[in-house]
Amino acid sequence: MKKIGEWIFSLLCHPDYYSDIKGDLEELHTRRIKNTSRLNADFRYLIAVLMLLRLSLIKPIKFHFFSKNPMINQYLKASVRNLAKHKVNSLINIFGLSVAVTAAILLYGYVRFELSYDQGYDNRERIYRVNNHSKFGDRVRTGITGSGLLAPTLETEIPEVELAGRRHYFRRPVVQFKEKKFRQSLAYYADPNLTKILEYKYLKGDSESALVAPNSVVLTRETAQKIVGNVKEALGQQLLINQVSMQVTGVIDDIPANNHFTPSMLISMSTMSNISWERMGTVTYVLLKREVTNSLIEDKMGQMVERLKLGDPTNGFTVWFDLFPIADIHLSKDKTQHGKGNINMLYALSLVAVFILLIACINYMNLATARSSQRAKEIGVRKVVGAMRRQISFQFLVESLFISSLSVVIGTVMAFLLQNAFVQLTGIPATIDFFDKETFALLTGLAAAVGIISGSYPSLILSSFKPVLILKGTYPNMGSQSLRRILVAFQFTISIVLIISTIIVYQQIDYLQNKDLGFNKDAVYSVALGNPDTNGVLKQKYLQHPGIKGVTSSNLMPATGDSGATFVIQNEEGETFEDNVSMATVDNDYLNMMEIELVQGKLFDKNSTGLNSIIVNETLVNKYGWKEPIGKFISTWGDEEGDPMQKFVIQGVVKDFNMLSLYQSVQPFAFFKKPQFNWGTKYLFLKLDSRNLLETITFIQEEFEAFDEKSVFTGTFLDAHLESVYRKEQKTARIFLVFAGLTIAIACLGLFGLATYSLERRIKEISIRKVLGANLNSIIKLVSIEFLIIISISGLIATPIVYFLMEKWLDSFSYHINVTPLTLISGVLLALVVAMLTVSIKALRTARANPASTLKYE
Amino acid sequence: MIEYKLGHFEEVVLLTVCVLHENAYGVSIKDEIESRIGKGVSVGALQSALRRMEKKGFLESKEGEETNARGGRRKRYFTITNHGKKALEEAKDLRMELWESIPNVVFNQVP
Repeated sequence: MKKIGEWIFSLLCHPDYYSDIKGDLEELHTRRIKNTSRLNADFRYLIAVLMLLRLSLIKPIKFHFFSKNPMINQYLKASVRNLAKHKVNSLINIFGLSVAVTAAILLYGYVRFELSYDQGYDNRERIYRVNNHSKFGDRVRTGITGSGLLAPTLETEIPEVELAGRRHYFRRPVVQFKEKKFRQSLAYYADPNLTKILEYKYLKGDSESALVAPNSVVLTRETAQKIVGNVKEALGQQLLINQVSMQVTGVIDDIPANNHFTPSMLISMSTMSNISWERMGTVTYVLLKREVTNSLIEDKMGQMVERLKLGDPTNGFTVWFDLFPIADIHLSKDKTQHGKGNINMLYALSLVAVFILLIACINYMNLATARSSQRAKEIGVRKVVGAMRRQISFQFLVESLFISSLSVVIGTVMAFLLQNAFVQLTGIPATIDFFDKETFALLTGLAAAVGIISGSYPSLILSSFKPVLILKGTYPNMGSQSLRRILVAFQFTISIVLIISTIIVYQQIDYLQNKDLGFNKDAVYSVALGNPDTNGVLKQKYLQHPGIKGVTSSNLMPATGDSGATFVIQNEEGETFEDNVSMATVDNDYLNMMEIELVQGKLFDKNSTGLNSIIVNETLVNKYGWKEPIGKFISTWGDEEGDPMQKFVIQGVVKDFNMLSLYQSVQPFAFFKKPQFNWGTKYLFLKLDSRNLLETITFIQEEFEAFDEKSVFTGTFLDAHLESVYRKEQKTARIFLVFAGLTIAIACLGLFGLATYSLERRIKEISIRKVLGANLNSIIKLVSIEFLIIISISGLIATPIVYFLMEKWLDSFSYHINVTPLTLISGVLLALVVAMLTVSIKALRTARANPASTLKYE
Repeated sequence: MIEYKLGHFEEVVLLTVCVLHENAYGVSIKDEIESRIGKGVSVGALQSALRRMEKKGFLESKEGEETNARGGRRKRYFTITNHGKKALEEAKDLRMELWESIPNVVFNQVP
């Protein structure tokens, strides 16, 4: 502790005072050791040193960082004095640059996090996920899921595969530990190889033994803490998972958020029964031996398919596999890979970061050149004394580098402080490691780049001044006025593009959320069932409550994905097709309660036993061109060959509705009456009275728990659920909003600086005009007109760009708004209004000034 | 023109330097003040006051003899200058003047 104190003191104390104060400190210290303890003395020493850090005692702050080129110290001194002299100007530059740097750092953190997905494995280049392809007739299926037998087969058949592991989704089991019950999401069956391939770190247990025996479970640290309470005692505990007793055989460290696969618990694959080539749903990962190419493996997998006769080519059924590198999954554009990232979004955000920085650099450039006359005398004198042009331009580069470094430091601190807010905004745990070497290099590079970009042009202009002219008093060349205008136009073009984009993103989300889905989602409460309630016991209970106006059931939760099957369908001309039809099994009152409109035929009858009757949507009818859809049928293949086809006769047609996702257009859809295709009722839908909602929901929960003790109650309102589906878009919109706001703010800051300067120069002109009778309006008009024209031109350039870009983005939605001229114009107007307000505030103040005070020296 | 204004703490330090006469250096001043006020004084506060007054010209200082104690550092002895004396006197005069201008009743009044 004393050492630290000595070090601080020697570093900061004024050299003139150092020696004797040090002596005093030593004397006190020795005395304190005698009187009290050493620790106490040391501590007091440190305190005394800290109390010594006063302005009058510390080293004077000097610019003597560069001993090799002492002129740099001189330049820095000049910069600091100049900054202090023109405070508004400096504030605009430093504040604008700092904010831009903050934004850039935060965006960098976001982009870097997105790029870091699945990059952390030691064997990154050798890990692949297997894609399963099959073709039957014209129908091609491609997916990451396949048979659970694939992994062990790959290991035995292909020696170049070092390890093959697999996982299989376990749908939200109910986990019970002692008295506590949880509905656990992200549970998977997995085998030991999976944890080896994905390099999971075991805190308890090990990868050799943990997932071997049936009914064994591995928890992540977080899950163990949630369920058992702590990691230490987790090992060996018995958990009841969906009423089956399982033992915890291992605890793994939490899986980093930047992994494409983030399970919360793993259950041994050996627990899963009936693994076969027919049963799909298992995802296979392989670790290849070193120096093995994936194309070699793909060839060998092809040979393996032939050898084991996995396909049936004579009947037109073919199977093949290929490998997809694990590191590419997250940002893959291939929809079948389920990558959650969006590379285009990353490009867009990187571009935004660069543009924000550019806008701030332009501010510096414009202000530095516009205000160059203020530095003219200094430059003149320097030149007369003997400075070369090279030295002058170097001086101004040093100055801009100084300002950019200062801004990067401030910006980094702000980014550090705002980090958490940004993480909340993006919903991504993208914390930036500020002490990382790479980040540090980037920040240094950023400071250099910003300094050079913003400083090169001013230094060129300023160094070109002719000393004779300056010292005689003529105005020097201040850089081209038109270049400055072009740069301002550029700033506002970018700002307007971002503003309009933001407006369009918000309009689109609003549209999605308020679009008529073809069913009524209001006041519908959904309850997930653990026990299928086949006899409608729970339904009857619910119907007795006055706050519940209707109860129905279905296996389909809107907007959670698609369940469908392949049917054989004949069109109006009698040609036969095979087609995928999305489907749901519902109660007879479902269509009524969800207010899906019937166009022809009739709804399901409560008492009908016509189990082969279905109700389809208009899309299906139109697709096959049926003129008289009622009585037409679709059919399935029988399970066995030669089995008769099962026919489903259409008894009704409903208007199109959208239950899947608004990214897709409406698909052919068929409703089956329960209990046909009874995959168990998975959800009850309750129409609630809006009064006493809380009481009703409590009732629903209590009855549910009385009915099904084993399951955990999970209920949501349908509209809230649907809103959550578009959370990603909302996030995008918020990010755009923030950064569009920032760009326009920074651009306006520069505008403010320019306006201030031009007003200062014209103050005498304005005063004379005022004396001669000009009113406020005409004066404001006088100074605003230039900027008005510039920004209007920006608007003209920006609108086609934004139109083109946003049309492309909107095309990714099946249902989207169109970009209207009104949107474009309102965006431009918004920018205009903000900019004009900025200029007018300054103009108004100047115009109000008393002409006598500005003209008194003439 | 030299300013004679003294802060309260400065005045105390200056007076203590006079009290210690010839033997006034950092630690001894600190001890003296602490024993009289009965309150701790940080080295920082004291030193900054000393240097400030040295700059103002109230104090002057010289290095003491070589020593092996104190980590081999010499002591710096402070002595008051004429300006310092003047400043003290002025401060004292001001106070006396104020004391004398207090109406008798203020202190003799029975509350």
